[in-house]
Amino acid sequence: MTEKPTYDEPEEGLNQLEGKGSAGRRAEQGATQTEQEMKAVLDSLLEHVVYQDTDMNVLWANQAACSSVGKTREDLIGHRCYEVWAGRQSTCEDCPVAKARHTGKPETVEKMTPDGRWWYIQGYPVRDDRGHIVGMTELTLDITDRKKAEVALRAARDGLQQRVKERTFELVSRNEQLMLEIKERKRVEEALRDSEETLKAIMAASPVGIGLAQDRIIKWGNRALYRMLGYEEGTLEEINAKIIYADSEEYERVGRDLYPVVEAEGIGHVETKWVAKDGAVLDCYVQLTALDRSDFSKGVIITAMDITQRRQAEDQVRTLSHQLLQAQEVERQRLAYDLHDHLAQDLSALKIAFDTLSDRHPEISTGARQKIAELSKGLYGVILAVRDLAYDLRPPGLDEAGLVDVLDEYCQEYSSQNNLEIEFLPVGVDESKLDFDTKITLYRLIQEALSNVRKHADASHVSIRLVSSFPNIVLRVEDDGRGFDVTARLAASHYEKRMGLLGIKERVALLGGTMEIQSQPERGTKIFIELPYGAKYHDKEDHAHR
Amino acid sequence: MTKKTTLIVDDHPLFREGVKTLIQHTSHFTVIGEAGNGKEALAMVKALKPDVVLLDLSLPDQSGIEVAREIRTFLPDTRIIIVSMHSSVDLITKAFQAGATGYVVKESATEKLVEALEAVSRGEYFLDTSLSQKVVSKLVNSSARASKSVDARYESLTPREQEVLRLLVEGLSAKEIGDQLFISPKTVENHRTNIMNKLDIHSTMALVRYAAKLGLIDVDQWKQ
Repeated sequence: MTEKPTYDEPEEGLNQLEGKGSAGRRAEQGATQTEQEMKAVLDSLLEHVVYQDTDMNVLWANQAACSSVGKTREDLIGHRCYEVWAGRQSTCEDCPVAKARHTGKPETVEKMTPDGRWWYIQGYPVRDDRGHIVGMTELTLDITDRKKAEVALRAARDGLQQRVKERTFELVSRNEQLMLEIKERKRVEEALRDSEETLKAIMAASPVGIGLAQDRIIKWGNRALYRMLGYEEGTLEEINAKIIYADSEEYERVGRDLYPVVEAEGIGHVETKWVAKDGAVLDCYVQLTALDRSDFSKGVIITAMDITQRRQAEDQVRTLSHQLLQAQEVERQRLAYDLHDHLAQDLSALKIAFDTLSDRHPEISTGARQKIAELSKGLYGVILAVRDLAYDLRPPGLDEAGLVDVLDEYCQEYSSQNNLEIEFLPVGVDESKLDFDTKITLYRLIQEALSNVRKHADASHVSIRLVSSFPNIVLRVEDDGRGFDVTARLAASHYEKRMGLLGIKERVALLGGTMEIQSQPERGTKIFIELPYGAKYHDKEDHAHR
Repeated sequence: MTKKTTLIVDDHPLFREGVKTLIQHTSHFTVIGEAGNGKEALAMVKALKPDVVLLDLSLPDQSGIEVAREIRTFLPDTRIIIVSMHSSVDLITKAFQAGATGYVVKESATEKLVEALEAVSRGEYFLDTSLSQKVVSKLVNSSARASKSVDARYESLTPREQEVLRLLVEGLSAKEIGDQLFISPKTVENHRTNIMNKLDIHSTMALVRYAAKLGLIDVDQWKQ
């Protein structure tokens, strides 16, 4: 075979072999058919097949082996294999052929050549009939691709293992973390349960009614809330809060007045009337707090206090204060009457008795007469003082004459006594509609206001305006004095023996009126008082809504 | 010349004695009786018909004003001088209205009583000089106040009109006022027209100024 075989050739070769299968042709070739066929078979192999003698000299090489070095079979024969394939002068250290010759058994090795290719090399001893090794067969297969695949596989496997390892580690640490988290959560849950228990206990023990409402539907309430309203615990859940209001008007008023405040400010309070299960109306102080300021729809926390008793107590105190004031006025009048109609009368009688003493007793000496005249003069002063005292205690004529007349007179006297210009301007005051309480209060208020002006204001002009403005009466006292700090004065008023500003305020409040003071240093003072006509303040309902 | 007869009415014996001494020392007057209360006084006036009665206002059984009024009914010519501790203009006015023609405060009785007796006997009125100043200034003042037409006009407003005016000048709309007073805005408008007519004021600004003058509102506050 002279042509260079290709990888396609073996099949063709085999076909040729089959085609040349006749005994005549075999004879023509001069070689045994078997040998030819064997060679063709060997040439068709991809493995390099080299047959060599025991001294590594190539005796024969197949086509694949020849092609691997680009030489003809004839070029190779007689050369040492290591010279041809490894370019060496001696046997390769790991040569399986040399090893096989030595061990007498087939040996294999996988090795990489400097060109980076991998080879699977097998060495077989070839024995003669007697079993002596006569040569060696070297079978070499290019396993670079397999090796690469193997390496890749290994790398892939290693990578996989690494990833599995990493993943496993990750899982383990995750797991540990999870365990820790579970433990922590359990702890927190327990703590939470504890604190929830504590909170529940606190809320149950609280004397203040606490509840939760959403969209005005009661969601929950503590024991105090239920006790306050007289319902069995839990029975108000999911029920509209309307049921606990005295009437639907009050329910709506709270909704209208309070809810916008809570929505805007997060918190708000109101005094309202609730009704217990048995129908008893309760005065309640109710505070609402938004559960979540950013989401009002989550509901509100209700805290409620039954202030009925406090209210009643306040009313009692108010009534008592009022009665006390009335008693004080009565006592003052009695005192004034005693001073004026008894003491001053007696003193006047004494005076006239002194004055006429010398007439009845002509024997009295001139010196004594003079002494008596002096005493009489002293007595006169005492009488005037007593009368002033009486007038101060009880404005004369307030009950019979009108308030306006009495005030007019008072202002004039006060004006001339204190060098203060007082302008008194009453308009539309219908005396018949004013009860004595209101009259005396207005009188006292003006008295006190003027006293304040005289003592503190350093004013030259005061205007007092008293105007009927149904259903109230309006009093305005304005001066051009130096003004004062209202808050400080009110506080100081606590320590004054006289009624003072605070006293005025209390008196006004007792009659269900209002008072405002405006004052600024150097800009005078304005007192504005508004009182309801007559006995209106006795109406409790009216007072409750104030 | 016969002495003018006087009756002393006072519940205080010491005072009566003093007055009596005072009068007995004059040449024109004499004391013909003393009474300690109103009932006694009236009986004695009827029986004795004195020329002048010196009458205290504070009597144990009734007020001197009533006694004076009654004396006037059956003895119109009897002069009555009030001798009292009281000095309020109101009481003085009432005393004169009841028929007294003289008024003396007790502490100046020694100095003024004889003068008063002489004056009323001549048919004149007598008022203690310590009181006259007070009475006159009061008269001047009340007449000054009465002459202010703003008062009379405001007083002509009905209670409801007062309410409406107040809310109007506080700056509320007819609807707001209606809501507050439970009346229709139209009714509020009617009230407003009536108020303006009664007060003779025809703009809201002028109404506000008027209300401020009266003291219904504080304009400084309103401006804020």
